Amino acid sequence: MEGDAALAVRAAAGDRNAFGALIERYQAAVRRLTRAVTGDTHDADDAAQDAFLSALDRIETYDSARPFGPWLMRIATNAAIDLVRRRAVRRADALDERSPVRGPTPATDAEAGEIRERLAVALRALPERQRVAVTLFDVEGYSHAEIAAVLEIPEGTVRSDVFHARRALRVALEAFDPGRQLEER
Amino acid sequence: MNDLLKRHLSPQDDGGAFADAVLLRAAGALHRRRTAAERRTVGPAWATLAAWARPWIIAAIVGLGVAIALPALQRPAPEAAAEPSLTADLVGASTGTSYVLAETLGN
Repeated sequence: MEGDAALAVRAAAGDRNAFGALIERYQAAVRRLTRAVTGDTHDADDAAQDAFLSALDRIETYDSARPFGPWLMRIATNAAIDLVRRRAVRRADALDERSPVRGPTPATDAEAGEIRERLAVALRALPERQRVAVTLFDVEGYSHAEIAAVLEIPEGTVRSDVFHARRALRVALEAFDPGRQLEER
Repeated sequence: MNDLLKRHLSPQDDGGAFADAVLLRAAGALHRRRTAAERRTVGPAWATLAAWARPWIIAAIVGLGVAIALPALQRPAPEAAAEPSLTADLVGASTGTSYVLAETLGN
């Protein structure tokens, strides 16, 4: 299998297949990350597309001696945050109106749907940076140091973000009480 | 919790449509990059050829010129050499003829 660096070089020269291979390789991870930030599947895909286009646009800045994933994730994080802010400016009240999960929820599996709902609510309640940190750490398997490079923050801050995000998600999943949450709102 | 989070965040499709959409949006940029890359490849190649091959081209042209001109320069030399032998032949022939005539007349 051709390495990311070689594919990036070919993509920089306009090779459609190479760029397609990079998209295929990273689309799931990028879309998960943008979903974590935006909280919406459609916005997530918009941000992920923007991220790939932005990556192609600045592919010369990619250092082939370093791993491609964190470089792309940084672009994806910024793309998702930018999109959320643009949307927030356009529709200030959209976050309150929109359902937390627009992706297909298995109607037959009510319990799974409820867990998804809990998770979505808990994720949305986290600060953006914590959402990115916990997604990259727990879902994508990045190290604290890599996440620190992606987010351009100290490694200790990443550890703290991951810790707080995990605790918040765990609390939300283990002791979710819709009535209490509504009161808190 | 990690699996749950991953399942929650993961796209529900195989990513094919997503990749197609990105490639469609990137078509213009990819085309521009291809064109620029081709220009970069052809440009230095021509410059290298011009810098490297020019002395050889000149040497080849000069060599060809010499190869064509040399036989032409050498051609008059055998003609000049032929003249004395022709004279000698004529002289020889005239001497022989005089001898035959003298013998005939003498007899």
